Amino acid sequence: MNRLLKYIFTTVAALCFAFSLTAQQTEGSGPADSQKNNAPEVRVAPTSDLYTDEVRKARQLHSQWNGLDDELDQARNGALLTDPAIYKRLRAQIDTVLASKRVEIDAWREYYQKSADYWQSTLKSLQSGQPARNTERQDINNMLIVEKRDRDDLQRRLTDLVKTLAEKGVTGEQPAVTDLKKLFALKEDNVAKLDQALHLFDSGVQHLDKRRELARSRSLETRQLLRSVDVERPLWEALYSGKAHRLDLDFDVTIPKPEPPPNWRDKITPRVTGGTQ
Amino acid sequence: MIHHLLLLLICVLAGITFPAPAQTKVGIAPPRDVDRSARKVEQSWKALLNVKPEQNLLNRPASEALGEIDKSERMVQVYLSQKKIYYSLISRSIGAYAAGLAAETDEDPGAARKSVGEALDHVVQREQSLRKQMAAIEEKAATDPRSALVRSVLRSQLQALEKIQAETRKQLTALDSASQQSHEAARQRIAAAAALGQCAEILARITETIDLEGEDWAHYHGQLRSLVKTYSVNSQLSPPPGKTALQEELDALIPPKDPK
Repeated sequence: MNRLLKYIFTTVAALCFAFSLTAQQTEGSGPADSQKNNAPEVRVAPTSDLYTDEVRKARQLHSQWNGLDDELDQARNGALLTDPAIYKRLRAQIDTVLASKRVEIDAWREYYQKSADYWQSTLKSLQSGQPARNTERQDINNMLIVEKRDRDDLQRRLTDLVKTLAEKGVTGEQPAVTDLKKLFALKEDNVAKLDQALHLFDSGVQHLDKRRELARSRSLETRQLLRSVDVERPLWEALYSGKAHRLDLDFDVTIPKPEPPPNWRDKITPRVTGGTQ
Repeated sequence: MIHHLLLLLICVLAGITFPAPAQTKVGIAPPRDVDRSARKVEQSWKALLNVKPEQNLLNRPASEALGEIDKSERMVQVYLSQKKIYYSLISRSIGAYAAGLAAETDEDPGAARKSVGEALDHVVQREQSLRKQMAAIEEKAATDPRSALVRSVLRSQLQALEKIQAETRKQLTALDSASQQSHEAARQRIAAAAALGQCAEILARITETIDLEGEDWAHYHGQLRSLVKTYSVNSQLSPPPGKTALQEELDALIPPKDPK
């Protein structure tokens, strides 16, 4: 019974999801809608901080690190340099501060990664849209050709009409001739408007080209920022390693030598002797 | 296993029934619709080209001339309706792209720049503090080997901090430049959206004039019918009084026939 309910729920969810996709796809493209030729309402969005949450997180982590580092300095300055317990506590504090810095660096990395992805996707979208823009330009050019062709045909019709009227000896401007002239003027107007539309389209595409170059540059710069954060990481590690070293010096701690690797003889002796020793 | 197959089948069926749009960013009208529409415009144009009601309009039987006018009117209406669909698809596609472009945004690292600026201040403070510590130990380090060792450790810390500072400054410069570029990118995007939006508006206005054009054509064809009814060779109506200039010219060239 539960399984059946699960399937019904899954089916309904899948159909709802697919339906919402279709609704988005067909929105505004219905037959009634296609008759409307009004230009769409343009809402202009300027620049914005898209990843404020990520920046806020990184900033909070930075404040946290800053506080911990200050605490470490204060604790170290007032510490009794002979107490091994204090030494241990300060070493642990150094580790905590470094860990805090690492988390902060990760947060910055996450932010820069998102920013880099954003600009990469903007660049891709602008690049992939280029063929569509070329096709649209060709479409406007085709409209211009159609209007010019209509105009030429009207000219032909006018010539034929004037000729036939002259042959018949009809004098004075006939309403039919006036109508043709009106239509001819409309075509002339349309040709001029399409020339202007083509000019505007080219200008728009030029702006898009500039934006594409800026997106490319931003994408590269954000990747450089990512690399810079990666460069920073070992430098902080070195800084805190220095702090730990200084602490060792202050407490006169002998740094223990690393343990030597186990002797291979010790390892194989039990096997050779059959473990009887 | 059967359950998984059932789930897969549901997903496949959903995918077939409601296919996702292939390219949602290009515009409402997919290119193939525009191309199909363009072909229809061409077909109706070719059909219209064969109709020439004005040629010998008044020198042929009225019924024939009127038939040709009716045909022309029908063809013109078909042509205009196809043209309206074609123009509409183009203007809507460009308009939708312009609207989408205007609604986009350009990521600005303003908040990040501020935070990195603060981080730089903190690094600078630590560097200054470290320099003070070094200055304090400097004299002692000349004679005391332990102090010399501490000084060398401090120096390595200072080097690390200097490099961190340099990296942070680099980040700050990059973020400054990024912010400027974002504003410039937004400016270009808004300009592009405005230009393309205006372009789409012009195209939409031209599309709207097609209805008026249809009315003008209808009026024109009506006037042609009136001409035929008034002047055509088989017209029941009386011809215009007097000779026209052309007729007089022809009469002068061709001598009148002898009545005998």
